[in-house]
Amino acid sequence: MATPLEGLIRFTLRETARHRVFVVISFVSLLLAALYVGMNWPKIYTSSTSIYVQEQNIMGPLMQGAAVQTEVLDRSRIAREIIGGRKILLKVLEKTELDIHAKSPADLERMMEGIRQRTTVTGRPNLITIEYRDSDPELAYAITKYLANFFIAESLADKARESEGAFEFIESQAQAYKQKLLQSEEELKRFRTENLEARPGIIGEIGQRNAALSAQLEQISQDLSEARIRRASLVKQLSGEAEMATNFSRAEQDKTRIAELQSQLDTLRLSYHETYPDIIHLKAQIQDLRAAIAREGSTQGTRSQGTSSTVIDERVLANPVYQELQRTLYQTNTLIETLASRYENTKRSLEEQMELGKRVQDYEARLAELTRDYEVNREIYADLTRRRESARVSMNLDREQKGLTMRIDEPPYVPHKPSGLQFVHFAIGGPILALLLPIGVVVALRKLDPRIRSEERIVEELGLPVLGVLPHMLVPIEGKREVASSLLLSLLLLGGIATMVVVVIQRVGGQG
Amino acid sequence: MSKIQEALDKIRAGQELLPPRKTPSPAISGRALKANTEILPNAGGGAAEITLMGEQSYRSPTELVALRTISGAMSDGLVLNAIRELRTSVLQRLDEGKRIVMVTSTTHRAGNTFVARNLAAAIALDEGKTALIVDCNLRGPSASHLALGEDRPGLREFLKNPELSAEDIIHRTGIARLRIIPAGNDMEGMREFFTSIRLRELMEELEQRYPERYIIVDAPPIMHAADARILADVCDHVVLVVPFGRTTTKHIIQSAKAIGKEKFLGIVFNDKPELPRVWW
Repeated sequence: MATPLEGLIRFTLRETARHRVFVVISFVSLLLAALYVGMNWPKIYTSSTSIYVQEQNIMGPLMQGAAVQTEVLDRSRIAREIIGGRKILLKVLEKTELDIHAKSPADLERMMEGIRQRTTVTGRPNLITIEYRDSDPELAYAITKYLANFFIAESLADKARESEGAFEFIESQAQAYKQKLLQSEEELKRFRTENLEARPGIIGEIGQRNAALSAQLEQISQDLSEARIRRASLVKQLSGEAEMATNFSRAEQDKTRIAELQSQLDTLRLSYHETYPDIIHLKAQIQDLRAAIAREGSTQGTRSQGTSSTVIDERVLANPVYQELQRTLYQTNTLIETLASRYENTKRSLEEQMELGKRVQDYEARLAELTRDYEVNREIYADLTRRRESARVSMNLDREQKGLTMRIDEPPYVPHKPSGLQFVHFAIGGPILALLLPIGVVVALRKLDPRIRSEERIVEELGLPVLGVLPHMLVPIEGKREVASSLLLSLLLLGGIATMVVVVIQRVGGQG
Repeated sequence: MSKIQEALDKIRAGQELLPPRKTPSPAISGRALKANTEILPNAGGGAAEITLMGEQSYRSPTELVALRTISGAMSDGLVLNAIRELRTSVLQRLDEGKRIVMVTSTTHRAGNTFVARNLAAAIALDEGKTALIVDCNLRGPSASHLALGEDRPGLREFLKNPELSAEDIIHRTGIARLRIIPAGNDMEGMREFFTSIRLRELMEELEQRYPERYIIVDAPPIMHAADARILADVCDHVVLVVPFGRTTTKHIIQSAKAIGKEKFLGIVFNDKPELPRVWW
């Protein structure tokens, strides 16, 4: 059994032989066609230049961390767009004086489109290659040169514009933040003036004071209840005692009492103001007693005048225990009243303090907010100011074209050899193509044809026995025809090849 | 050249028959000896008959080539060998005592007449065997050209006219040990010939006539004529001719099915092109 490759080769040879007329005619026609095309193929000269770019986006470092940067576009695409732009192409046409030939704006557009199509811009990181093809080598060189120069100039101008824009943007932002900062500063000031009592640390003070007042209130309330208990027990005791042991003059007693109160008052006056509640109270009591004495005196007068007989002896002494209890009761009463009044006062001032505390809390919250605003604005403003200064430097660098490194890495050249397909390619490729194409067509068509062309397929695919394989039997007339056609085909083949050889030799000789 | 060829054939056949006869000079054409052929008796049987039939070839190799028929002396060894190989493999496959081989094809102009004629001619190369071509291709009787003489009664006449015997329609071909029954000339009323009992009788008679006679029936394409299928019934074996590049596998399968497994002998792949040979 033949290997698949062997089979294919045999198949190809057999089919080629079977269709030799088609193959030979196609071969010769294709050969001559290739020759013709090759002879008339336009010569294309390519000039190229590469530009080294060390470009950094100006906004990148300037705005690092402060803003999210938009994605940087593919450099070669940008370059292609710049080079394909009307601006540069018009300048190139002007420089090469091609625009003189343009009769109408449409002509000009067509010329520009032509340049655009014949220009190839390829970019690697940091290297842009501009390639221009033309039938005129000088023109190819000139246009490549101008394209590169204008591209560099345009890029520099673009970059300057870009950094200027960046500066302006940052500047405007800085101004806006400055405004905001001033505003928040102003707000803070106004708030502080409006709330003078709210000085820093007042919250702590109020807390302490409240604690003290609460303790005091507690103490007073305790004292008050003690005093009340005492008074109750005094009243009980007093009711069990005889009022009179010896009848003391009531006025006498009152005088003694006034003297006592007076001395108490004097003691209090040493440490308190006249407005102190105890003092007020003592004063009131003394007043009361004096009034009682005065009343006593007048009744005694009337009594001595009218019913002197009923008057008991002045010398009769009142009961001393009773007296004592009475005195203590008075004292306790005084104490209770004093305490009650102090309790009220203390309670009121505690409430006041509480109120104040609440106000101060609100104030604190608002103050914190204002301060925060102020701080944030101040920080951003400081940052922007710093960046603005860097931007200013960058802008100045670009203005003076010192910040960008963009230089022609490989200068354009005048091409002396045409690029692309040349006659020699046609001379070599033509025969190969002319040979392979018709054979390929024949083989492909035969391969696609489902009809049986080998006995192996009958055996393999159908499993039917093949008794024999018969070749074609030529009768003499067929033989003669075959000879004639073979001769004719050979002549055709030889003619085609000879033509080809002659043309190639002429052409190559003419060039050399 | 032809002597050596014949000798080789003889050895291959393994039979030592009569000593080879003197080969005629190529100058003597079949047509020139036409009168002679008619004198020779047609009847008889056995080895003696074969001897009698083993007359000289009256046709020169050149003439035979023009008729696309092989001869032992032909110069195109490639075709000759291919046909002899075909003959050998056909004969090997034949069942004992069954010697009627029908040659049909998948399509028209597949070359089955060429195959039938040359298969018969190749069998006749062997001096121990004779061959008879029956041209059943009534619509295109191309095998009949081999018959010597014109307007000879053939199959048609035989089937129509009960008075004719088998001998009347067997004719010489100008090739040693090869006879032919041509299709005949009577073109009228030529439908449904093959259904007649007379055909079956003819075949039986032909088969029994000589022990070493092989009957090659040239039939129309199996898929294109009902005739072919009827004919297949009266034949022992069927050979299917598949022309190069003109038949799909589906077509072959259909044809093989139409023939039937029992009688299907095999396929002859015909007209396969070789690299061009310059032939003078």
